[in-house]
Amino acid sequence: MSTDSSTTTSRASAPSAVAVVTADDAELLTGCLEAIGRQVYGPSKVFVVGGDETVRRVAGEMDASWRPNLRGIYDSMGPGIDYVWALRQRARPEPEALRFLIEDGARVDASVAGSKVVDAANPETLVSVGYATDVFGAPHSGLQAGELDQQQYDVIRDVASVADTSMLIRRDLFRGLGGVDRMMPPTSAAVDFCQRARLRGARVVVIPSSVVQYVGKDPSARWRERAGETRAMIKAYSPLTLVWALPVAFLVGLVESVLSPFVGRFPLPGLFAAGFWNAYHLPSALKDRWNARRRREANDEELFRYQVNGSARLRALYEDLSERIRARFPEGVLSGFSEAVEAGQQRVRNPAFFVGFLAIAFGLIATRQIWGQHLPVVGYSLLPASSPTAALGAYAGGWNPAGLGSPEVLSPSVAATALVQFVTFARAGGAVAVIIVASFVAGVFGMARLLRAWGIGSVSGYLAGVVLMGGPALGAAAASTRWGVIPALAALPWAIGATIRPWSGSPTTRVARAAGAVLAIGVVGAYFPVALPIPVLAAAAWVAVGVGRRSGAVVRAAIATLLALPLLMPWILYADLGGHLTSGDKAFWSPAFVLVAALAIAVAVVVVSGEPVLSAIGGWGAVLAVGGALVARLGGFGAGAEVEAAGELLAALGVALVVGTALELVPRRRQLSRSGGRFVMLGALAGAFILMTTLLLGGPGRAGLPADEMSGSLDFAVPVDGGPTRVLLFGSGVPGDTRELEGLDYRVIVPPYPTTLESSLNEPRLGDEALAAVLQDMLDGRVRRAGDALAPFGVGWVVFTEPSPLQALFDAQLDMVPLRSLDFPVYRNEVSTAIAVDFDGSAWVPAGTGYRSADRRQSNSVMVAVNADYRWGPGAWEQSDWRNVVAAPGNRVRFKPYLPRRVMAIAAGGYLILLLGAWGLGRIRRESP
Amino acid sequence: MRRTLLLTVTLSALVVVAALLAPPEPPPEPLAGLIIDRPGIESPVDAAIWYCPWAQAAADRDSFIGVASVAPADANFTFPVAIPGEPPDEAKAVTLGPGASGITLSDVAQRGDSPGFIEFSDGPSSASVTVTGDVLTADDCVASGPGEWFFPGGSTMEGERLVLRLFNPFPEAAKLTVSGFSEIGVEALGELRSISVNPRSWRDISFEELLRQRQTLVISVRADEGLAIPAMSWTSGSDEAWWAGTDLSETWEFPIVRHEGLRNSGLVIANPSSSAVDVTVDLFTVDGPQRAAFSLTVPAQSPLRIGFGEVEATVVGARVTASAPVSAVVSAQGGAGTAVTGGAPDQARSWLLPGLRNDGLNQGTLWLLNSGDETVSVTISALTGGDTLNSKRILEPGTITPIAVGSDDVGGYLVSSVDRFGAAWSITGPSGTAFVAGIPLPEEDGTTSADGDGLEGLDG
Repeated sequence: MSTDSSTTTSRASAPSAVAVVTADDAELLTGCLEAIGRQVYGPSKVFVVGGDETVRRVAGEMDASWRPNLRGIYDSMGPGIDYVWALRQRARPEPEALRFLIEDGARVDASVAGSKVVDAANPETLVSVGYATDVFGAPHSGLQAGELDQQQYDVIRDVASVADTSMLIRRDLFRGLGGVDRMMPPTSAAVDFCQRARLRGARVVVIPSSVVQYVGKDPSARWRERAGETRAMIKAYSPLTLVWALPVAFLVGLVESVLSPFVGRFPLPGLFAAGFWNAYHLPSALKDRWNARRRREANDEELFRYQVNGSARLRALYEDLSERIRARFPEGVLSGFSEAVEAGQQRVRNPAFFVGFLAIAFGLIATRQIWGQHLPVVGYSLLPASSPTAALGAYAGGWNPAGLGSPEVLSPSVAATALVQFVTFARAGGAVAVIIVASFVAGVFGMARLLRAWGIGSVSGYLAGVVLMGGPALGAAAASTRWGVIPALAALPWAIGATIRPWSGSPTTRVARAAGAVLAIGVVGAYFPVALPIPVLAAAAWVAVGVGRRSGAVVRAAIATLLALPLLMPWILYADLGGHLTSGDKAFWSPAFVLVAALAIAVAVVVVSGEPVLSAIGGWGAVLAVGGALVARLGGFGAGAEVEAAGELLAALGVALVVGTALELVPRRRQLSRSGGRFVMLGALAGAFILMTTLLLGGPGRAGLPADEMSGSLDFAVPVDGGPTRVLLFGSGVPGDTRELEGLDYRVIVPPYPTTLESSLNEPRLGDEALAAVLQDMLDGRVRRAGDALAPFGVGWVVFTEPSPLQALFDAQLDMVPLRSLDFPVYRNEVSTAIAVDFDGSAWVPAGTGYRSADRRQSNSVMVAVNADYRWGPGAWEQSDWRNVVAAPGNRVRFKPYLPRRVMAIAAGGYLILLLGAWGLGRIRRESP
Repeated sequence: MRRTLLLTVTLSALVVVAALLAPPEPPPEPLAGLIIDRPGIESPVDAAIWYCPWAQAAADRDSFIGVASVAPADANFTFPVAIPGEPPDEAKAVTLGPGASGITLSDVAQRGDSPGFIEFSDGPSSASVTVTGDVLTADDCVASGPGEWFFPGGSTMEGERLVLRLFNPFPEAAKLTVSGFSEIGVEALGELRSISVNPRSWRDISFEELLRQRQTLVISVRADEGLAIPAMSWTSGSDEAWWAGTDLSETWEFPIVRHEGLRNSGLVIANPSSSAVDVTVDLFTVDGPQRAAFSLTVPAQSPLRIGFGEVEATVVGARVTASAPVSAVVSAQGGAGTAVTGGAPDQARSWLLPGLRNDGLNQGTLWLLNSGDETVSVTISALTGGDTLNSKRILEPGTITPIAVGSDDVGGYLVSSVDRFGAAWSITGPSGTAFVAGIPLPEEDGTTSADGDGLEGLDG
């Protein structure tokens, strides 16, 4: 490119600059070079960096030097160059842009000066006048969308960052910082560069008199920008700031993921992708960090000066949401809801958003006790263990601590919940709250998404989702106290939707869809294994009664179910599957007659409406509902409580489908025939009646779970110091699995209450049989020192959840002290006991599922009162009656995991990551332009 | 249309099937069919616990707690300390099978009153306490008890002292109601209603102030809550007698009712019912039996004292037969001391008599009563800490046979036969006299463990 003397100002003594244009598009580059050529203050040299052969050719034609990377430029600049003018190929600087940058920038002694950027298509529209950022590196322009340039920002200002569209950088700074990071997308690269510059004490300003037009839109993917922001944080911040900023940035991303669906974005996969990208590129980031911080002249406080409070991304999201709400509600409606009601239905043109919001509100209300207080501890509704690491270790071939312990496999829900628990910083209650609240929201939206595939509107879909997650069928299932039914039910519409629809598209998309189906079915299987066949059953029912292209649905569902089974390893290989089908109270669900009647009316109206798709879906829902109810009543054939709950889940799905179709008939009634449309309102009423029943579940706020029975009840039995003892519980309110003594339920637990690790008891082993023998001896009147007899089992307390004739036996013991001041009968064992005791009688304290010395002293031997298993160690193991004696254990005893099961669990984890990656990749490719 | 019809039919069929499914059988009620009575103090025979409410060790007296067992057993003694939080005093003895052993209380604790209990690792077993020193008193410990204990035999005449001890060895407080009647009728003991006895502690109630000048006082004790073991102590003259309470029975046997130096001896029969009871007393004298020597009526809620002073023959034993359940004890007093003990409600084929021994100047005597009409052949096994000394005796019908303890090594006796008979023992010395009933062993399949042939040991 040659400089035009007619337009070029003499610069004999003026600072000189070189222009550096990063390019990968020859056509865009051409326009940029032409604009540079029209500068009144021309650069002494123009470099083009990057791009392919065509870019190189264009550069040559326009007398610009081409270099493959920035390093080539450093060496080619030559002496006498004061500034580097960094431009992007989409930049179209106005003729005086460079002049103003140099003159005004030098005047304020700026080391980095940026131009005002306007939209090339509409030069009156502002794009950037410099940025503030938030603490997470996200830029905040301060501009309204489409804001016009009325010179309101025309003042030279210090800013956190300037747009990299046009940046004038002092040459020594440019070289010292190594230029802009090519690995990062443009905006975050600019923020990164400016942060590093400010750490060096450089001043970063925007020069509004220097105007650059920008062609087109920023093409970089959002997740790349997010990744770039994180990389900028890693490079710039002190370790102390990084310790809190990185985790909080992740949390902000999670919040954004929850709210973004309302504006049609799904950033969650990108959030994880950004994390993985940064992990992969961490070495280079650390190298740049060292370079950036070793010669710094300022600290984090300098970076904080130009940062806005809170999160720029959340702020932008809020503004976007507000804009959409404003767009949907006419002026004045929001000022008073009563006016909106009076204004009539016609003023609410698109209620889907509102209904969706209500659905989420319902989810929060229906679960408020769980996220606001705690999960009710009753029956099988138990909190996870406090340590997710210990839970995963126990699942992966470790020790099952239920009752007197065993090496039996734990439920896969233990592992699934532990993984979520890592996200909640090991908070058990937080993990359950996240799972349940997310399940409610996901279930509602999943149902809407499933129905949308057949053209059913969002309003009907969301309401069907509310019925799914809050209806009487889920209420009945949750009443069994198994909270795993909630995430299982939430995953069902996703699983069914993913298998009913064909896996079409590019190979990546097909794999992603299949992976999504497998993941959804995996969630079902992890949290409620008995419900695994439901997707296949639903697909089969759809094939039988559905419309449209539906062949292959059963095959897809079956394949996805089979592919989901490895996610459940090692449990799937070792569990007593038959026991799951027959254990617990015998299945016999008796739904209220009015609900059955309402459902029947809704089904009848939908089926006879004549609308083929809705009739088919309604019929499908009816088949599922009735089929599920039938399954839930098979107690006479030996079916147990879990089968009943699975039938109720199937029924919940069916009821939701029927309600969705019944409500959808209302907006479509004009399209129906006279006969078909006659009873539409009746069907809608029936559906609305069923919808109203969700209030019953939402009212208590426990997601359908029964009221808490155990929280705090056994706090008295928690030792203040020393090792824990067990509580021998009798009665119908005993949590988790129980054993029986002449029909009376009992089990041992470690107070204050068992966790999900302890919900399922093992097949009786030596210790369990020994305890049963002691209790039988007591029944036979042969024991007068029950405390002495129960001490070897580590039982320090005997508690009755309700008055029982058995109490009379404990009343007459010489070493059991009855405590009459509590709400229920309690007996304290006077004989000193502990679960793990070393040779000098010192009690050991729990360490995961093992035990350690309370004062970390070494010990010669320790007796562990759990069912004997040779894998307890380290040190020589010996069986003492039914217990374990470990000689020379050091200061810790633990169970050596079964290696095959551990390998299987790790393989399942790896498989999960693969599936997530496949699904995420498909999502990202769909999201990126 | 066809599809709709098919769907309707299918749904209807499913609904009908679901509706017709019968509900499963409800689970059985917990503990169904199992009767769990509130247990008393009873314990299994082979792991019996014996409670000894009256044991003392002080400067002027000491107690010997004798144990005997048919099978080899460890006997663990526990003496609660009536100070909350204080650990109990403990001791241990071992008996051979069969054998006798014992401990001296002062070797374990010397703090005055020390009621305690003994846990045997095997059995059948038994225990008794003999208090010596300034008094001589003895009686059996108890391993079982009625719902309501009766204590006839005491009196609160001038100079006498009558103390009821309520011993609660359990970790829960007991509440008991004490009531009584005497020759003047039902006594007003409102303040003794539902009195509390602390866990692992005891409480003494003196009646000489509460109910003065009662010649024949009957006290009853019933547990309202918890469990406690009562015992009565009566001080008359220079001696003291203590005895455990009795249940009610229609028959009572007393192999020993009188001893040299005990001039005032007799039976005290208590009728707590609301109807009069007819009683017949057979006496067994040195001259032979006197069947139906007394036929009397005991009024409702009244005691009856039958003295033997007017009986011409020397009465040694007695048998009471009543038309309804009554309580009965023998009460004897004189220059030789004061002795009271309950009768045996029935005969038995085997009797354990722990603690029957010679102790210095105190001489023990075994008394065997054959109140029937047939001759009974008994095997007498003198139990020691080592060998068992066996001997045989013939008990003529209607007679009482006294057998003095021959060896100082003897710590107890086991007497057995194929026929039923009665047994008791006495101990007498310079400080007083005590009567103690024998302890019948439970019968299995109509045979005793000795089967009438004696135990392995030495035949003496």
